[in-house]
Amino acid sequence: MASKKDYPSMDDVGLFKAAQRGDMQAFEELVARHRDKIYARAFSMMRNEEDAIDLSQEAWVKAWQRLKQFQGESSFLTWMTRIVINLCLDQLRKQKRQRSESIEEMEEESGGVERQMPVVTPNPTEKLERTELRARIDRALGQLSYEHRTVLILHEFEELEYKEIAKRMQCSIGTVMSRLFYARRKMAVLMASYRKEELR
Amino acid sequence: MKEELQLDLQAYLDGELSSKDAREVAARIEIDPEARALHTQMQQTSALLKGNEVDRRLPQTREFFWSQIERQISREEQRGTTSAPWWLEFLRRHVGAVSGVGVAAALVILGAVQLNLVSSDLLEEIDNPLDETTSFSFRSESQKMTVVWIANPSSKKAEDEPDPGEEIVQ
Repeated sequence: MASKKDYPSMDDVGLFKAAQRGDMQAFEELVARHRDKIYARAFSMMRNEEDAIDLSQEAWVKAWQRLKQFQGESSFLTWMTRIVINLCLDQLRKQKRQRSESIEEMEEESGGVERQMPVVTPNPTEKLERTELRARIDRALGQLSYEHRTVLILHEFEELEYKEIAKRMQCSIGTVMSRLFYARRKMAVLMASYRKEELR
Repeated sequence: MKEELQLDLQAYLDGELSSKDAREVAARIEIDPEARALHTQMQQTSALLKGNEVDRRLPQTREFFWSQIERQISREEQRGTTSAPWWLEFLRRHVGAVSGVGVAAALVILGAVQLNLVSSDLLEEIDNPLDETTSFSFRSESQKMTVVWIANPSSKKAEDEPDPGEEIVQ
């Protein structure tokens, strides 16, 4: 008689290996364990609940189909996050192709308003509740163009190097550097402006 | 400040410069207040972002979300198993193209016939010489008549003594 596995007590590696052997229950446990993080990453890039649900779902289906390709070079969550990021980038590229030339693009090429921005330093002594700070950051990220937001997410949250970001975004390292620079400056300005709004 | 220096300051912050370039940028930060201010801004913005991503929860229950995934996986797997073998796909693709050409040729011939571009002599008689053929047709332009002879090959009688079959006159 086969012993019943205690999936919740198994670690990711054990679950993953079982899933590689075709154990769907093990895979379901992995989905349950990491679904929020994968959805959150999709949402941070797409800024849309419906797209985020669809793409995170698609990422899990792709992961199941590619389980045998994963050799364990990184953690399972890192591997999954890369899958959802790639799907989001594909989707964003499709959406961009459908749009006519945007103002964001024109701004980016000319350096945009960020070029003339004064240096604004977010006040590090300002004690914000962590939840409030996160909400502000999220609001500011939502105001960036998708190119600026993506490069910030990949660099600051996913901790990818310029070279890796360039590869994923299908652009040059110079473009990554430029986008990251203006994204950071814009974030600093937005964060400072929220503070001013609150003081009024 | 030149854009090149701005990007160098950023690359220095991100640890993307060679040790020689990093030393040069560090020296510049020491002596240039503008470069120092920009470096500080980027450093603080970066520190603010790290580890402060908002937590989000998937707005679907575990069971519902999994059921969607499970359904999609089985749909994809079914699609994979029911797909035709490679040789059938090959035939479908290539023979399909050939039959497309055949249809096009037939349309051209039909069009030519309709426009009287083909001599009526060529259309005097149409018959099918294949053994297994069960029908024969005859067209006479002068009589403006087509005769179709339909035989029943399964009948023993048909082999020995052709059945008169059915005559259709148009």
